[in-house]
Amino acid sequence: VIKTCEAAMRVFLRILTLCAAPLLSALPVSAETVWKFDRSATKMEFIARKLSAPVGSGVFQRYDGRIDVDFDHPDKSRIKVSIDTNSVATSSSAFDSYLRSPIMLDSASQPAASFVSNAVKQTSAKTLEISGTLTMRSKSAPFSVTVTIEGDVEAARRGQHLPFTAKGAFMRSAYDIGRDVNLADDAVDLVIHGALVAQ
Amino acid sequence: VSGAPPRWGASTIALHWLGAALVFGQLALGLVMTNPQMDLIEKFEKYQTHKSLGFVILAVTAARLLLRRRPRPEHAGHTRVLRLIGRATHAGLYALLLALPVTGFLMASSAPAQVPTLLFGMIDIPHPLVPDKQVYEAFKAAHAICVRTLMALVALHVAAALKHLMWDRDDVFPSMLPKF
Repeated sequence: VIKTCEAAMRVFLRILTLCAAPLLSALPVSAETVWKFDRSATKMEFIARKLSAPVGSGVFQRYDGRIDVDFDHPDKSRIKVSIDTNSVATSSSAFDSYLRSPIMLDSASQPAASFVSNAVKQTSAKTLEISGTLTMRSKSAPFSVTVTIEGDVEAARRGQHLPFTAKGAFMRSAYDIGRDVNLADDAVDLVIHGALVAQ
Repeated sequence: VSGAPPRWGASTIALHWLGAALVFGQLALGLVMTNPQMDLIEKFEKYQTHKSLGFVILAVTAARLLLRRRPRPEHAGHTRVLRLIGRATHAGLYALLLALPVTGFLMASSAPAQVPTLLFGMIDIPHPLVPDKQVYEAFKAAHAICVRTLMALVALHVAAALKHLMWDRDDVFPSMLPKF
């Protein structure tokens, strides 16, 4: 009798679960969502310029991020991104080695660069202004990026990817990167084309 | 062979034309790579090629100087003044072909940007000088003066060779041509 009751209970719970799933998905979800980068669709690029014309670009291949974004209350959002500067890559391996050298990113002794947000503002229906601190070579300086959301946030909360583009620029001199390198302007663009996935 | 026109040895001829090709290639590369709008990575690669070719020119010039100890063809009918001009031009060319790689390498060594010198992308040649902007500027100026002087002497050398070929029609130019 007990075994029969247990079997009946299991069947009942299964039916309840099947019935509840569509109901649960229809309920409003929390506005704040923790996102992570979809690595297969994300490219973290830097662009060097000379007299404002692009003269070189490359990517960081290894990075990580915890992106807590509340699209209803952007000011509550928190973003933290870390970059492994050893993963810098251009079309020339010799140039990559130079970028990793002590005069540039100093990747051997300072392999981690990081960005931590301290303010997130919604500037339009699809754009956010994220300000924070960028740290490279153990030097920190204010840094801000403009993020353009290129997808449907609600759909992304339910599992779809959220395409975005983030654009900002840092000054090499603020981090002592290539102090005497005059082949490129002081300002270097950092552009992230990618997609987020809800965790 | 009695009566045959005087000729330079085969290795001297080969190194002369190899050196000439390298010098013209190096001058062209030097002009192209200094374009400020060039892609930074392409510029980096071109500078590395320029530095590598500089070492090759240094080696070729050293080999040519050693070969000059061999007997050389004597050309009759040249005035003393012309011979003097010829010798001075050749001495100047050799001096510049040695000075250019040396000043270039010392310029790269002392450059504050500390760009490494990678021989054909494989061997990292240690820099003998520490980065110093004043020293760098001095070697940069010396390198530029050497380049301009070399261009002038090459023009004089080519003009003289063409004069021998088309005006004098003597055996000077053929003596440096490969024998097929």
